[in-house]
Amino acid sequence: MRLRIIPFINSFFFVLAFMLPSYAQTQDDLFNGDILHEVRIYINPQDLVTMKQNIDICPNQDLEALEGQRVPNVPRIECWFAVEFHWKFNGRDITTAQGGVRSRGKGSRSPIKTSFKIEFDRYEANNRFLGLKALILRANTQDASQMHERIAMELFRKLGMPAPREVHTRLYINDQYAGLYSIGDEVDQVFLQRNFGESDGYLYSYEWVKPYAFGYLGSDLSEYSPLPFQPQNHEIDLDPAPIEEMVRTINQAPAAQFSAAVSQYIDLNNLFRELAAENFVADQDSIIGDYLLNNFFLYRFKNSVRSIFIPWDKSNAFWAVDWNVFHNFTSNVLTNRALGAAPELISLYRDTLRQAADLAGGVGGWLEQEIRKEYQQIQQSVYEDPFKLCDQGATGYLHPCSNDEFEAEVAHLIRFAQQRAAFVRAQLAQ
Amino acid sequence: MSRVRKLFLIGLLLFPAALFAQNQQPPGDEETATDDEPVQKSGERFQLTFKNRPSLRIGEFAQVDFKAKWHFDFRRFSPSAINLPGIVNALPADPDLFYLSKARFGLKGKVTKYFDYEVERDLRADIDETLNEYHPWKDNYVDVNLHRLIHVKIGKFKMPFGLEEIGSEDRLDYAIKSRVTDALTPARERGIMLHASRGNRWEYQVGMFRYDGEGSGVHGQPTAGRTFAARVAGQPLRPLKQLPSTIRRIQFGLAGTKGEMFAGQNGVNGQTFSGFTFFDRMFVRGDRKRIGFELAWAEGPASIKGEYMRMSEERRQQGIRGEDLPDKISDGWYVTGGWNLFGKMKSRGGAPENPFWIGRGFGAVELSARFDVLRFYGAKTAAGLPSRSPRAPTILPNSDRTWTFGPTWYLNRFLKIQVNGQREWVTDIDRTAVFGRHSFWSGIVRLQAAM
Repeated sequence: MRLRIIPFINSFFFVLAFMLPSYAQTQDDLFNGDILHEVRIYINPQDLVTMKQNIDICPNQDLEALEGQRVPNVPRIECWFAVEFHWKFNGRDITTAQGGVRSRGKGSRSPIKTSFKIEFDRYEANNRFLGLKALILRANTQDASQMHERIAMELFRKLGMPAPREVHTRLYINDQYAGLYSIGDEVDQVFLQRNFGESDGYLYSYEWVKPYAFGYLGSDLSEYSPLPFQPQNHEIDLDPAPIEEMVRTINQAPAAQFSAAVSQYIDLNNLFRELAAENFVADQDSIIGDYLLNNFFLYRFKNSVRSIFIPWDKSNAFWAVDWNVFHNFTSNVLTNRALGAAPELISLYRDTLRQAADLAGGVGGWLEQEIRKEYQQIQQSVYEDPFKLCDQGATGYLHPCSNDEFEAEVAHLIRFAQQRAAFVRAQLAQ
Repeated sequence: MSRVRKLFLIGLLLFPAALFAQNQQPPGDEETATDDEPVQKSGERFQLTFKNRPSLRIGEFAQVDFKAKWHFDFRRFSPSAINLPGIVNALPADPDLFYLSKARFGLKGKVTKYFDYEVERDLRADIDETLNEYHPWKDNYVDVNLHRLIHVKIGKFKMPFGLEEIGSEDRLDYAIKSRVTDALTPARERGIMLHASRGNRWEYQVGMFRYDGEGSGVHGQPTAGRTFAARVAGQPLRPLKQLPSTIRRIQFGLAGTKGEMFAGQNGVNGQTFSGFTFFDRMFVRGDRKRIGFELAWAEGPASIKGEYMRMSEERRQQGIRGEDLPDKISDGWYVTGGWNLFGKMKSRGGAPENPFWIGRGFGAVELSARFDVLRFYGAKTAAGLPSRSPRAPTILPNSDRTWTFGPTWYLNRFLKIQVNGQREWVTDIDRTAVFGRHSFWSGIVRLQAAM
């Protein structure tokens, strides 16, 4: 009897030995910033051509709309294609069932170096990759250093704010090197669950349509959603009423009750900490950036009218060392009213700026170390990247990026890291 | 479109029906093959009659019949609104409660004994500009009678595939065709076809067509190039005199098509009657082949009919790495039965012997029920798990099983009212319109006016 059991025991440990490594990979491994990752995606060559040729609109879905089918009311109708995603980690090839891929981005969208959104559950509702429903492969086409986004989001998270994780990867498309990319979190159910412990509320992405800064647009709910607050879930039941109430309260709440009234709709503490972080990293295209409201998600908690802001797209961060810490505060109705009616929020804002300055440090501080670490990690891959693009000065024109431009932007980042904390402290002291 | 134009068009289409209402017919007229009332020849060179429809006869030389068909549908769907399914890119809108599904006007006739012709257009898009009717022109052809065994049809007409599809829609037992017919038959196309028939005893059609038919098009665009189609049908048991006569009259049919698809996401998809896509289009390249078997039997007040269809679509170089994938298979079948509950019919789906309004009877009522299955799957299993991806090596199957039932009241040869209930059951829970719900109900009341 004993002899019969031994082969079973051996088999068990044999199988276990193979199973353990396959379950060893986690999201933490995927977002491990200490290594340069390698991702390979496979797309049918004809699909790749179609995607590049129709980078701004999907002809099929446009036709569906023409045929009378209801399509999401978004500025862009996206084309999806089947994709196979492979992550090479520690000599292993980690993959999953076919997912969907589309090009992504607004000003950063390019057929030369295309950013991608990968949805693992596009065709299989339950399909996940290390528990993720989706991933962003960001081409960083507006950023010569290709580090703005990752560094800024890292700082946000270190300050305790919910922000997407990012790491760098070498991307191969159909086994051809496609350049240096970032792997980024998608703000979706998985992100919400991880950060807030729930995901059934209402998630909106803010789509920039025209300059807007929380002015009251009237009681017509369609002024608020599906644009500019574009639903990411509950597409049938948009329920934009709380957004209208939120904006109305921001505009009309009496000064004495401003914080209390607006707090019903917005996690103000989180928002002002986020605004402080955005202005610390001198983000020119943020909630209070130069284009007014932009680059954020709004999540309204389940069974509640209260929402939280989630940062997005920091391509234009690190704009200038001498970026005013109260940049655009008076252009935005919410921040402008807070200046006069909510001193506790302004105080929190200042405190967060100090925290950010302390975290970043000066010469040799965390921020400079992080920049140098990432630079070491990606330099060779950036040099080898034949498709790298940049848009210094946010002109709206993406052009091929040289290695010199890359080096110059890295030098600017290091200078920013060495001087920004001192500049912020000096401004706060005034 | 101006209101005046709309009213004019509606008036134009209703004008003949108003005339027919004046024709009082004695009951019990002799049965004719077409259910038309016989028209007495006046002996004049030009004769205009309104007996069955407005008809102009120029002696024995030519005949021009004016045709009109109206289908007024009142529909209900459950669920009426749907959640966003994971794999479709666009949501079907809530279907309208009232729907004008047919508003056709045309001419049909002959020139000498050698030429038959038909011209027909659907005017719905002219009445409602928001409607996308990709193919407003319907049957438009000339049929040359070269010999009793060789007729040559040239123009646009229904490709010879699918018993339910090739028959006149006005004579169907249901307001809604089976899902399998809707999905897998090619419908109309421009082409040339040799054909002949001898009543129900035998018939054949062999044709070559420009594309694969409007039924398989995507947004009005064809999905396959030149297509060949053939069909033979008849009563092969008829000579076997030792069999009971009812068995000998069973009609059998065999049909097939073959054409080369245009590369792209051009595979045939599956939709519920309410318009929800439960099987998305797949990327295809290579041949599209169909094969179909038919069977029909009728005896007294009862009738049974059934069909099986199978379509294979090649997927050459359609894998993610450009590799060949196993063929996509779509197949399905239906069986339908009808029972003439009361009132006699001149012919199945035609006119009642004792018509209502234009006669002294109540018309006739028929009860029908149909079960049909439509399936999509891969010809064989390939590497990897079954998937819903449009480039999946192994296709995750899906199917739609549908019950349709209800009565049809044939008021007279111009009017009938159909009341149909339909229950669809989609297998794959991730591709249903409401998460966790398999079944969909549709109800339809159709008033049909045709001549």
